[in-house]
Amino acid sequence: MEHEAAAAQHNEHPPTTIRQYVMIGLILTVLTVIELWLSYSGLPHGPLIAALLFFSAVKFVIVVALFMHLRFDHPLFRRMFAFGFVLAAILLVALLGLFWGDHASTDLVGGIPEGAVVAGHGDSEEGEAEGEGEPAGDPAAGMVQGIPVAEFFQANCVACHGPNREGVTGLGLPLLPSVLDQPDEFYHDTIANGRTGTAMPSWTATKGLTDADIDALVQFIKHVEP
Amino acid sequence: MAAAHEVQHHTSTGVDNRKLLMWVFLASECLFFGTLISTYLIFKGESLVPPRPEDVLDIPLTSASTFVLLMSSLTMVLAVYGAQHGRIGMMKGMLLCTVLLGLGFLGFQVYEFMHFVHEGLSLSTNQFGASFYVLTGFHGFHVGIGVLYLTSLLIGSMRRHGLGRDRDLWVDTAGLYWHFVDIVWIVIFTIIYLMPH
Repeated sequence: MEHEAAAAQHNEHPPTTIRQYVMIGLILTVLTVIELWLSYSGLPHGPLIAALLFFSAVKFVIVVALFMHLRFDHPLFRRMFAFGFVLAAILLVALLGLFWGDHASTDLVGGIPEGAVVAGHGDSEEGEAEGEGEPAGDPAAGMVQGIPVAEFFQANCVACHGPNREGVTGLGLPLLPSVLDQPDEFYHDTIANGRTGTAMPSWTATKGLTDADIDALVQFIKHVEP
Repeated sequence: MAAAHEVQHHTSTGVDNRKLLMWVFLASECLFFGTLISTYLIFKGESLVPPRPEDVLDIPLTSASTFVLLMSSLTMVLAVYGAQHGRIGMMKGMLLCTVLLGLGFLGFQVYEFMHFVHEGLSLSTNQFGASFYVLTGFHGFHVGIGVLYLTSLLIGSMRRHGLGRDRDLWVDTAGLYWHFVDIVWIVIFTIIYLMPH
């Protein structure tokens, strides 16, 4: 009986020594330092993300296999954890696949040539490359679907963004020149495609706004005080 | 000894049910954090108003707290080693170190949250605020639970009969929970702090 119990106990105990545990801790620290160095190294985004994910995965496996003893433990534990982990990975891929469509459209709008955006400024024909955020024509005089931009805003946007564009808590953010600090393309994309995680719908889909309409709105909210 | 042996063989799976329960729980936790991490990634770059990650995240500070949590995993595994090899003094000392390092990590997190709120980032400011606070907040909550869990073991080990004949099982199971909290942070640290914004 004593012998059996000792044997069972021996099976439970991983063979790792204190010295080895300390070495593993040291290796994990070194890997973290490498990750940190990589994040400051100025590598292009693609290889950087791949390298960071790789080192993160290595640390993950080391902790699970050696600190949590999964390498030496009963296969049932391994299967149980693998089941949850694989399910979580599938969930992550599925969610990103479902909701990352908006990012693709952001890239698309970001890629619209400068001229195409400028051409959308109401009746303005100047077309010269303006600095970021500088309106080409009078931003208050733009037209959206044949009606003045301010009127369109009052009829369609105030329910969520407030009559004076001050925002409505829990619904729409303030749309004042002082707070809109992103490039025009960002707001263009938000109006055209909506914004994941908010009540903002796609106005291209719901109202059929054209790029020119949207651009008039962007210039209006970015440059005209209420 | 005989009783411990008996307990071990009374399950149809051949493993202790309490330890199996912890692994099943951790498997479900993978889904819990997987969902929160997915949400963070989906909302990444979607914030309409500042502050954005690059405005507020302090990578050197978080690297220090990451090191603290990593070291707590080392002290935890040494506590398990002590429990399994009958070195009770080592087990208690390492449990205490783990609790203190866990508290240190929480201290860093409280400081970080207060700093972010001061910078104007709240749970409802933008998508970054919402997904960041929920993800790291739930992780911090898990660390807090872990600190209480380990403290209860530490107090238990101070009693006359210590943690009883299942001592190594109790400490081993608590260790699994603690290491899991550490591996979640390994992923969070990479995704939130190190990846380009």
